[in-house]
Amino acid sequence: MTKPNKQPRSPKPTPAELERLQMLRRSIAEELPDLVARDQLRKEARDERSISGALRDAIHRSDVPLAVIATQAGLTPIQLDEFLTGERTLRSDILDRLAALIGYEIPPARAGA
Amino acid sequence: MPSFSRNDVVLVAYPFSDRIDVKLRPAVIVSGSVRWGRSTQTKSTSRFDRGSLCDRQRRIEIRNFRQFRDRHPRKDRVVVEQHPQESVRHIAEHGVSQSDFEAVVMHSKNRGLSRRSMLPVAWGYTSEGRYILAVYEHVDDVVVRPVTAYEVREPR
Repeated sequence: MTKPNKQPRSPKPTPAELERLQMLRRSIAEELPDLVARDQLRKEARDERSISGALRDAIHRSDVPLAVIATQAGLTPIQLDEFLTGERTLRSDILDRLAALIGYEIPPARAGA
Repeated sequence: MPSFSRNDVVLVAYPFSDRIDVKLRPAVIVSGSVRWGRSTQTKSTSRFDRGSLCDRQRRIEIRNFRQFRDRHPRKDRVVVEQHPQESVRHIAEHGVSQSDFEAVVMHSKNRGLSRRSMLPVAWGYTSEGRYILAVYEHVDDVVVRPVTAYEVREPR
């Protein structure tokens, strides 16, 4: 009697894939203090009471991956990350594009207001 | 943009089992603060959070979710992760379970980028209130693979 073949829960990673993952993990472990420090910057930039702060908040709430947002707004992922931490300001046309991408609308100003 | 807190009763667009249509069902918020427009963390919508699903079931879930999402692009957007055992073992060494990892990625507080590895990073809370940094890579537009995770200091 043969035993039924059990399907593995997940594909076994190749040695090259394991090596790549271990390299990424080492690099992230070295970067960890910077990541924690930038999270503090990210929170402060997000809580800013400004249009940029509101836009950062909307980006964090969005389900669209940051890489997709960056590409569609004409930015590199690092430029978008620097905007999210408040290390970089963006031109107004890029801010408009970002707002449109994530469906964030600014109500039109009332006439005579 | 309304937000909800524990014990609030909300109406959730819950899919039929064939994922062809949805019905509005009442649900109770059981934990955390929940924002409208993302998947709500309720008892009735937690089927993607189950850590015990086998790989085949998981693939079926992902396929069904994709079909549902294509029919209802604005409703119930959920990130579903694939968890190779090696990655699950690795994050467990850092005290982070598979469901913790999923909770942080799906309900992240902040999102960013690891500038050395260029991989996406999510910061958020587990159901026990621990603040976690989760690094992952996108397999495709729905599936992500965990790379590593750490419990870190919460920003003040």
